Amino acid sequence: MAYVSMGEAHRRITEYLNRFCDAVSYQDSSTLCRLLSFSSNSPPLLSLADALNVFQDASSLIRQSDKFSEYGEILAHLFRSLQSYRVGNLVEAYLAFEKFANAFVQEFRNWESAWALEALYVVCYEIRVLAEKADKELTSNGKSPEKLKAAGSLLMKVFGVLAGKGPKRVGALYVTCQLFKTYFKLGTVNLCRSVIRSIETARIFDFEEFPRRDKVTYMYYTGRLEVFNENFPAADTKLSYALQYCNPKRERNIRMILKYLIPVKLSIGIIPKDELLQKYNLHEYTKIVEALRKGDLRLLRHALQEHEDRFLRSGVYLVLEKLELQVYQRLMKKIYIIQKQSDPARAHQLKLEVIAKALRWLEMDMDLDEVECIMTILIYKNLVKGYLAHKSKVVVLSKQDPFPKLNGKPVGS
Amino acid sequence: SSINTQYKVLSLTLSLKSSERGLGFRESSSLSFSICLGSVTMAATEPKAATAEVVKVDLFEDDDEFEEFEINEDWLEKEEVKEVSQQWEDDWDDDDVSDDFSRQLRKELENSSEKK
Repeated sequence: MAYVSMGEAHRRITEYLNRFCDAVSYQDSSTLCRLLSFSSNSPPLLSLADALNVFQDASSLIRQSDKFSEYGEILAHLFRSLQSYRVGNLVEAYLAFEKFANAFVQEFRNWESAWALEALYVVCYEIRVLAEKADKELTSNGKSPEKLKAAGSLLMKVFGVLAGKGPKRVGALYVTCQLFKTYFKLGTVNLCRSVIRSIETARIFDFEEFPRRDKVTYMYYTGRLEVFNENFPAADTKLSYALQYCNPKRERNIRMILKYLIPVKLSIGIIPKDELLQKYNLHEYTKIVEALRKGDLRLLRHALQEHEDRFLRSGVYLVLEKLELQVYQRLMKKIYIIQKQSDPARAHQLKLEVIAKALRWLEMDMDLDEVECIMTILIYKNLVKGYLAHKSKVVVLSKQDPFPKLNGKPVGS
Repeated sequence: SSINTQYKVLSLTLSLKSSERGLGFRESSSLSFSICLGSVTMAATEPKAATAEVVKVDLFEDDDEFEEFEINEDWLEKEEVKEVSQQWEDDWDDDDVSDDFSRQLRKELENSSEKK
């Protein structure tokens, strides 16, 4: 920490107080944003923090002037938070910021227009980020993390403040997205449900009115939830929206959207082109796509194994594993086409024995009963049109369209 | 990581959903059991239990947290965006069997018939 004289400290603090109060008086939201962005670690904020730690009694400065004391409570908590933040007491920083945020939201409520919405966004962001840091500090000291959960409650309160008829309501989606990030981090994604319901059903909200950046973020998270719940058509719609409207320069975000969209697309029979996988470094899907294209069950197994950890972490493993049935379909189709080329008259009869030979070649040892079982499932799921002649151990394929395409619908729907 | 065991059972496919708090983000895991004549393939067994442990401890991470857009970040829909949306193929499921895999498959099937 740099040395600061008392005089200089006094000057810096007074300067900030003036800036803050002027920003509020003149409804200067962008200045206010800069004054509250702790995580930006901007030089002015850091030097203010140093000044506060030297001066120690900023409250007296605040009390001295009517201009400042009007926002006395807000400023006192803010200063305390900044001081703690500067010296690395993140739990203390969070607690003080929480008090600041509560007081700030009270004021915000009283301001009729939505001028301070962006500053409120900053407050929401900072509270979440500070809470995460505080929880890290708690766990590193062997204590139970609870601040992020508390931040979630505060964010819900802010949501409630914005969920009204006035112009402030366009801020609700930003807060929703902060809540999503909070709940996803905590693993309590079930809590997303109530805020989603509000956004999607409350009459005061018109989704189209929200800023595009918030809509993209919203669709990304709700799309992920649909993947999680295996609602693939809905997941496709939402993630595709996010992909289409995301800032094309934000390649990391695009990559994240694709990471979840690709398994969804595969599940409805659509594959990503290789250029897409290359461009966004999604090589973990290369072999899976190849396996589906070819009908190569062995390759699918290898691909799943090779990136098992990654797929498990993102929660798409089971989605990808279920592609097995589609790969079976592709393999059966190939066997059928190959047979048709050498013996067209009997091609629509697939001997279970022949299928078993193909599977054995792909390192899948099955007896005829198991093969019959697989074929039964494929027929049941409408991936194969035909019937099983059990006695003759043959699958009799329909002469018309024996391997129906998914046409954008998931298997068995 | 899958366990294959031989049983003589009727062919069924069951989907079980289990809710377990400790799994965090993967709160509800879908366990797919394919019980077929002669083969039981269990997904989500030992390896996943081990991973559940990792997920619990790692609750501070959502690997895929969307990056914040700047407060006033806005952008125009460029051609590039549309290009990304057109990187999908839906006509890949063709009748072409000229690729290596198909040729090897054909050889394998023809060999088998010869052996008979």
